[in-house]
Amino acid sequence: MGMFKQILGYLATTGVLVVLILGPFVLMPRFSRLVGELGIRPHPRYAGGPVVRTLQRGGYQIELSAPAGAVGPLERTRRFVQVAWSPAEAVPEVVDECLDLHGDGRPEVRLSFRVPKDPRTPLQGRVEVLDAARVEPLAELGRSADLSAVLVRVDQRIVARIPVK
Amino acid sequence: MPESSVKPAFRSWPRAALLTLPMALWALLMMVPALRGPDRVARLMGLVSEGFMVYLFLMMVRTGRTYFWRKVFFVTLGFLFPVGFIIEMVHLRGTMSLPVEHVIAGTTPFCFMVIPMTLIPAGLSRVLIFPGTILATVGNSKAVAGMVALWLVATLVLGKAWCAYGCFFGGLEEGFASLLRRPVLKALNPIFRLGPWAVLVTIVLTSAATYSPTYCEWLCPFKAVTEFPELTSGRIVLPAVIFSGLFLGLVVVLPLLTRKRTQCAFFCPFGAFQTLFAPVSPFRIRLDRDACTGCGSCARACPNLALDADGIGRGAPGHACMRCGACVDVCRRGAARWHVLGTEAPSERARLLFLYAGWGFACLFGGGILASSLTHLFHLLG
Repeated sequence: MGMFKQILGYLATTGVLVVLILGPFVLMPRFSRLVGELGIRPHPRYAGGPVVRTLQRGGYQIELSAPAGAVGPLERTRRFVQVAWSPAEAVPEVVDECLDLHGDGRPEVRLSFRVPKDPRTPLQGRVEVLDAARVEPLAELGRSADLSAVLVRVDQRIVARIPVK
Repeated sequence: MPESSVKPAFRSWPRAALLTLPMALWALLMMVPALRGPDRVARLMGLVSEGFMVYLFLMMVRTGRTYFWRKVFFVTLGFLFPVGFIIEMVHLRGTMSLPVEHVIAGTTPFCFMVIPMTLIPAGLSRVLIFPGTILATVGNSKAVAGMVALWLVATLVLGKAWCAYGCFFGGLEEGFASLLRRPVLKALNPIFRLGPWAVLVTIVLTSAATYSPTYCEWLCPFKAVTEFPELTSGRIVLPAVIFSGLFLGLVVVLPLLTRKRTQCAFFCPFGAFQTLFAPVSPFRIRLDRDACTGCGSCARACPNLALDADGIGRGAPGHACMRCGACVDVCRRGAARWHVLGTEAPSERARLLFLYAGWGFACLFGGGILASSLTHLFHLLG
């Protein structure tokens, strides 16, 4: 039994060294692929919901996502719809859109904002609620820490999030 | 403290150099990405980091001591990591805070601290409660899958020793804990050692309930020296105050007064989480009760409060032991020893086997961080 334990102990030590040596070249890429294949996706609070409709405009497009919101039982994230204009440089200097957030042919909000030439300038959007029964009361969009009501430039997109009921 | 140890396994320079050769080759291999890059400063800093790591290993082998040389690396890592991280963030974003745009873009580097909080939401809803990407992208090389893979390798290689050879946050505390020669505060209530477990259970449950990383949002002391949410409203001021207060109290002031890693010992939930995987590693510290005189120097030297009278009587340190080697180095009687589970390996052989694994991981993970932080620093200084 003593000899058996000794062999196991040294085998474990060898195993540790093998894991270390194989780690950066074999194990980490494999583990990484494995984690990637688990089908886990970022919370919609961060990534927005899946894109459900794309509206083509001259030189740019508008992507509307499915309503996203709380997933957990005690989560307080407000439901919102993400709308993204891309590419940002093709978006006209003044945007004034009536948006049908739920895709039923009835626009719920009118969103207007200016697109400054300097991409570092914060965006400020004005919101006119057209259907108060389905959209949270809101007058402006900016850089709120509450990720459910923002208007920001994200890489090559201008992303607006409008809280819905 | 370890400096007073009188029983080191001293080796001649040629013998120490021969034993260091495999580590030198490994460290060189780990620096290949930096050495092959187009940036001259990065190549130079890669060489400097490699030389630093190899020198420290050589000294550990030659002197037979572990704690002091490991501490030199660990404190350097602890202080250079936030410097490099902040410079990189300011360069990429223009600010140390985490802007809303980057949260939505998913470019936040994934931190290992988040792992325990993500498990239940990921298992129940396949949702990641962190503003990062799953796979690496152009804007985020530190994506979730890669960092989790790195943690898996670290856990298999180090187990709980992650806290002494991998965690760049612990180095800051160890640095502050080393500033005074004697502790000002000596009587620390052992009940506080349950703190990390309490914090771990709390954050895992609250994260599962709220689907948000509660530790990152409310409690992480290291937000003060890495990144924090953009201050866009009064509500965000409160967590900022908590981050700063915990950092000052647990990472700066208490380590300074106690000469202990108080954040690790009393608060860090990831340390507790990592303790769950401690049995994975075959490397242990054992106390020979026949040789022990009960002087308590090992307990005083332990930076993580893993040793007390009970542990000494039992012949093994408690669950918080991170294999830093402080107790072995300080024990004049050689009662504290390195041990490979199941074997009768002499302490020095067990120590060397552990060091090849532990220091190998330190080169893989910490060496790269040192090189990149030094590069950022030199670019900043022009």
